[in-house]
Amino acid sequence: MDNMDIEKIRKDFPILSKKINGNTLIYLDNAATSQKPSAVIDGIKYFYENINANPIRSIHGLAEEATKAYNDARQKVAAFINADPEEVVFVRNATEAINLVSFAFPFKEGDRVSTTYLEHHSNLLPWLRLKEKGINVDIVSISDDYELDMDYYKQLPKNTRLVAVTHASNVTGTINDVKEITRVSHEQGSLVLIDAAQSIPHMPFDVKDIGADFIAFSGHKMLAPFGIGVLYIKKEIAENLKPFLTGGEMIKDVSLSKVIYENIPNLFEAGTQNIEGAYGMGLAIDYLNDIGMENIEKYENELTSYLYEKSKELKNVDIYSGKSKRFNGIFSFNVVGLHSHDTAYLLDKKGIAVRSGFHCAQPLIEDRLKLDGAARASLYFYNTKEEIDTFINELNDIAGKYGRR
Amino acid sequence: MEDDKFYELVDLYRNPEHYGKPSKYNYSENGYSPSCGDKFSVYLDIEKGIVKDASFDGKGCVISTVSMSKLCSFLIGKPLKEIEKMELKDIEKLLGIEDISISRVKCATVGLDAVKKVYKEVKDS
Repeated sequence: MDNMDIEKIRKDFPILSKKINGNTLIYLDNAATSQKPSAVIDGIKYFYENINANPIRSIHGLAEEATKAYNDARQKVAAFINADPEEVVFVRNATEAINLVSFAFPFKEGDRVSTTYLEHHSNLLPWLRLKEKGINVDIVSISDDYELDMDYYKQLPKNTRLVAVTHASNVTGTINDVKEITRVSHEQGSLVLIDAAQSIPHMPFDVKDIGADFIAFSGHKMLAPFGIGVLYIKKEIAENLKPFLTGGEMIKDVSLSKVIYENIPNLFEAGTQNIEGAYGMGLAIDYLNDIGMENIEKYENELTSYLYEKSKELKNVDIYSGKSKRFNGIFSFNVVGLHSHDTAYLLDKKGIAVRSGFHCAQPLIEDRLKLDGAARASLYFYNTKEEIDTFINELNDIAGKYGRR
Repeated sequence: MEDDKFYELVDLYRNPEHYGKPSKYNYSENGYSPSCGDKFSVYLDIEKGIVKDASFDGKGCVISTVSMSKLCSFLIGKPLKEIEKMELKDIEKLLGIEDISISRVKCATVGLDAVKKVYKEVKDS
C-alpha cells in the first residue's frame, strides 16, 4: 500500500467519477470487466491518428510502424508473463483461446480431458462439446470449502491427454495451486491448460514457473480494450497442433493442391487481427508494470481482507465465497429471500455496480451451490476501503428492509 | 421505480398468486431468462380457445415472478388469442411500472414468451 497512491491512480480512470442514479459510481464488477485508464483510452486514439495500417502484409512505411506496434505489444505481453514472444498468440478473449485449443489439440477417440466444477463456461463448454467426437470429459469435484479434489490429479484416469483448470474462480474466489496440478499432471503424461482470466490481472504471473502448456486470458479484465486476449502455447508442443482458423497471413506457401502453414504464433492468427486491441493491451501492461504487480496483489489482498472483515456486520446476507485457503477479491452473496438480480438493482440505485445471476458458471451455482443465482462484488486495485464501507452499509440497508429467512 | 413500488412487488413476489403446478391443464411451456437464471413453467387449461385456468411454477426475480403471476390473472377467462397482440408495454401495465430497464426486459417478458409459444401450438394444431 505504501507504494500505491490510490487517489492519484483513480484520477487516471475518468469513468470512476461518473454519476449513476445521482451517486458517484462505485464499480465492483471488475471480474466481469475492468475500467480503462486514460493511457489506454488516449492510446487508441493515438493509434488511429498515427499508426493505423494493415501490419505484416504491406511494406510501406506506415504498415511497418503498425507491424512494429503489433510486435511490440506481443513482446510486452510475453515479458509480462515471462514467455517468449512466439509463444504468445493474440485472440479475442480467453473463451476464444480455449476454443482454439479444443480444436487444435490432436485428440483421438477414447482420449480423456478433465475440467472442474469451479469453471466459467468458457473452460467447460469447449470440452463438453468434445464428447461428440468420442472424447471423455471428467469434471473434478470440489469440497464444501470450494477446494479442488487434489487427489484426482495425483492419479489421473488412463488416457488423460489434457487437464484444464481455472487459476482463480470467478464465483468462489478460490485460487488453485496450478503449479502443483501442472507438476503432477506432467508426471503422468498429460498436458495442462490454465484459464488465467481471473488471476493474471491481479498478481505476478510466470508461465515458466507454473510450467503449464496452454494459458488463456482476456485483455479487457486487465485495463485493455475489449476484443483482445491471449493464448500462451509452450514452444515445445506447438508443432503438434493443427490450425484453428485458416486464411490470410497464417501460411508460408499456398497452391490449390498444397498449403504450408506458418509457425506459431502466426499459424493461429488467420486474417487481419485486432491491432488496435493489441496496441491497447501493450499500453495496459505498461500501466500495470508502472504500479507493479506485486504492489497490486498486496493492496488487493488488503482490500479483500477488509471487505471480509466488514462483511461480519451484515445481517440477512448469505456469503458463498472466501472459504478456500487462498482466494482473491471476489465476494459472492445473496440477501436472504431476494433474487440476486433484485439485489443488484437495489445496489445500482445507490450507484454500486455488482454482477448478479449465474456468472457463466451455471453448473457450479445451480448444481453444486444449489442456488438460483448470486450477486457478486469483485475488486480491482483502484477500489478503496471507503467504497467498501459504502457498499457494506447500503447492502445492510437493503438486507434490513427486504431480507427474510 | 420508486422504493415503495418495489417494496409492493417484493410482497407479491413472496406470495405470488397462481403459483404451483395444477392437477388439470392441457398445455404447458417453459420460459427462460438466462442472464438472471429465471426458469419457469406455465400451465394452461384451455377449452374452446378460452383460458379456463392459468398457473405457473419455477424460480426467478421479482420482475419475472410478478409478471408471470399477473399475466396468469389477466388471462383467466379470456380468449387465448389475446396473447397474440400483447407486448412489453402490456406487461408493464400489469406490473404498474413504466420504466423497465433494458437489462430487465427479458425478466418481464419471460411469461409472455411462454404463453405465446402455447398460442402458436394451439393455433397450429
